[in-house]
Amino acid sequence: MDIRLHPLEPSDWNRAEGIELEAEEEINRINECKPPSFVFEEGVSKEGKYECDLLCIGLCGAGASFVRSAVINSVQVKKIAVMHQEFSSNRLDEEEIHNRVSNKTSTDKGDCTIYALEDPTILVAEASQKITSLQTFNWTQTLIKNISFKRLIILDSILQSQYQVDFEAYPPLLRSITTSKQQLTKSLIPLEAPNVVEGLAASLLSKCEVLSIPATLLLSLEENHILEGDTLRAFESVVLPSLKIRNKGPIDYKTVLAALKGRRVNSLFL
Amino acid sequence: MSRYDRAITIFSPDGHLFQVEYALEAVRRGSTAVGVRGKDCVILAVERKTAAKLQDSRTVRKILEVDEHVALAFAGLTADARVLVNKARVEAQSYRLQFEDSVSIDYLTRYIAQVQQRYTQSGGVRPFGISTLIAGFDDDGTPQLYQTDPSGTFSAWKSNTCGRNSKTVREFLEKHFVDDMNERDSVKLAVKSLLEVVESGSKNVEIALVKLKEPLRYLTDAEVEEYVSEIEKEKKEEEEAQKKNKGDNKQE
Repeated sequence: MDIRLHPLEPSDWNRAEGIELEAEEEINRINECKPPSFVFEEGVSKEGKYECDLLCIGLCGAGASFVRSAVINSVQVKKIAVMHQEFSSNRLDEEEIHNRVSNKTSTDKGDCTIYALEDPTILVAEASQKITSLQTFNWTQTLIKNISFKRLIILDSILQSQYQVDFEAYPPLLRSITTSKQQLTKSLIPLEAPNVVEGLAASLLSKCEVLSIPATLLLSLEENHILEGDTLRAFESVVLPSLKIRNKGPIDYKTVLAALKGRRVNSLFL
Repeated sequence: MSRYDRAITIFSPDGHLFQVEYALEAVRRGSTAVGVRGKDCVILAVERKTAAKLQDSRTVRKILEVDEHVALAFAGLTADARVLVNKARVEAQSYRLQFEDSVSIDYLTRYIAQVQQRYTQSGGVRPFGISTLIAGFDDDGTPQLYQTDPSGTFSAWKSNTCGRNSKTVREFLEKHFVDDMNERDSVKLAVKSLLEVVESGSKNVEIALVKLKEPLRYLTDAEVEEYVSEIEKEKKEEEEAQKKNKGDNKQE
């Protein structure tokens, strides 16, 4: 029997070394990510933790904008805590270029502010900072360590260009992913395969599944990388009843969207 | 998918050219541009982007003159538009020198579309990330409106749109377009369709008028404001009429 030995070329060694270096760099980057700081307002927490029935988190982009427009700017809320994530030393890493550079606009403050509604057992969080995948684990851990909730709603968006489906989809369009403990409702259409959720939304949902907490991720379709009112409007019918907020009339999204638009100075496209 | 989307010259197994499709995504990131062909005019209306505080807004233009009788509005990558329009301008002048005649809109559109297509079939280049609306008049006086896209496809239109929120604007145009409109009605339709997706106000809209044997004319802010006010007034009247009808129906 002839055995032909494949001669190891120098490039093979380089490639192997490259992989090792990458893994080492990855570990260093993970270690560099400090957990976020969590600060309660005075007189809010009991033994360093706040208990609530429902926590609704609006993630950077559509989720945070909806929370700001439909909840914070519309009803009486009380600020109870702020979670602050510091940026890692290498700002380039934060963009995480995987052929899809997210255009989600984040504030420079880097805060997630948590508010209580009139019913103190219902909390809303405006997570307006873009959290990178390396930071999501620490972020989720910190949140769960400080806020104890019986149910979680996560508001996020999915870009039309990344939404794989066999029909032409336009906003307003809402899809959901739930943990196994969450009761399914007919009004929520599950996210179709093979679409995938990444980042903070995935991290929060996974953690809730592990801890057997009922959680729902609501994804609103974002058409154009520029947040539009239709994307935010999609959340209304599901989120507002859950938060026990009565719809008193059309919600003003223009102010928040205009503020986001102003922050975006992009001369690449006309 | 990732194996077939890096090179322009590779088809995917299901017949996609992903780079061309990604270029169409780039077009959708540009603000809306609308073209309306009237009886004796062609209107190009675009969403005007807010210029930065220290920026000279006159140097940021979405409607460009290609020749005396041709104008072009685009949506997508600004730099790609500059390069493509410059090529079109050179071609238009070259045609004049050669044939001592102005270029027809059809010819110019074919040329632009051909350039765009060439960049989808060559190695080492990428497609132009713009769609164009080309408006003008032929020598026989017929108004023309054409559209091209990054794939190199082109066709003639009575009215069309490109850029962000195209679907909403196109649906509006399909519902309200009428053949052989006069100048006023054409401008009004263009502004109305744009206001479906753009914040109301003359500062957000730029309109150019292409007429036979006349230079390209941009409407002044005051003129645009007049149209916007008229449209808003009509909208209010419509809403009030609808409310009144509902009230009457309830009483019955």
